[in-house]
Amino acid sequence: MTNSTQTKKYKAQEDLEYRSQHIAALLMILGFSTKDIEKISIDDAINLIRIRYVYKHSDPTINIAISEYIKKQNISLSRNIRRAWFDVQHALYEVENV
Amino acid sequence: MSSEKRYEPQMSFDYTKWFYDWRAYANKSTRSDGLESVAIAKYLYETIGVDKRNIATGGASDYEFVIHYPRPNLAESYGQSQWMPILLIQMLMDISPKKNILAVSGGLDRYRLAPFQEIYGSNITFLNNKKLSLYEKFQSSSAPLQYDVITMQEFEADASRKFDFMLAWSQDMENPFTPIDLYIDRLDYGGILVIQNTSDSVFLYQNDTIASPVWEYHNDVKLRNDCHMYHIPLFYGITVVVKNRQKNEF
Repeated sequence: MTNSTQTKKYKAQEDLEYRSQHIAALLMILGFSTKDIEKISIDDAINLIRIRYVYKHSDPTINIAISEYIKKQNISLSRNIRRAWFDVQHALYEVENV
Repeated sequence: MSSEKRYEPQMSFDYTKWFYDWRAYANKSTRSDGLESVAIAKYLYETIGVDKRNIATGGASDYEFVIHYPRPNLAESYGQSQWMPILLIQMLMDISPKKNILAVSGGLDRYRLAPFQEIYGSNITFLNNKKLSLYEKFQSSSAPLQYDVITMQEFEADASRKFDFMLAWSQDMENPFTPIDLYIDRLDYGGILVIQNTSDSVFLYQNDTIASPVWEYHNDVKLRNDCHMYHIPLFYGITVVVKNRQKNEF
């Protein structure tokens, strides 16, 4: 079920460039250098977030400010790296195959 | 009706009078939405080969392929929650029709956008993103729209380009590189930004912390003095940001 008759206006190359910048910026926030970016996997990035931003503490019924801050960093970085990776996979396919 | 069913409605929408017959609207949107969602999922995960782990992590739950529109044959107590954002968004346009619409989340809102064009003659501009691509591939034939496209690069660079209505989903506001302030800055005075799924699957409330990125962008709006914000916590949550009608209005 694809619609191939209408003129398509989606610009895959621009989308790929834009989303790739987000991935690169997020990886640099995690401490990876431009030299690393070609070599690391999404698992490397997520595992680093899990190791670095550990927010669980002994009593989960109590909100501790530092835990909240670290949890927010963990969630924000994980979500945005995964979403950016999702977007890059899609845009790259469109650039190369469509 | 047994006593435990006292608060489960048998009818929900017969009291609404709008441009469309609600059953016809639900039938049309539902029948295409289900099939198109399946086709999009197959394309993403089988053709492109996107990492499926993203579904379960919340990291890419971008709702490309879940069901977005009300089912006429489902229990209406369930359908009520799906009608709420549709009718609320339509009501906003009815009260204050807008001409220049920015569609942030592509085909997710195709059946919300179509009435804007059909009833009010609004101009629709899609942001250049994955959801636009999926709309053009899988959803445009069932919900055709006349539209322009603006790339994210152009959207960022041109501060003079304004819109008076923006329709978005929460995940589009959680990206720190495209913060909610960017969107509000591109709203015309008197413009409206509608964000759907802003209860973050109720995480915003259940978690009892400020850890959610959804909390953060709501807080960013609270820090502005050029707009008002209404967070409606029903169902998946919907947030409406109304920009002042003129500079220094309040």
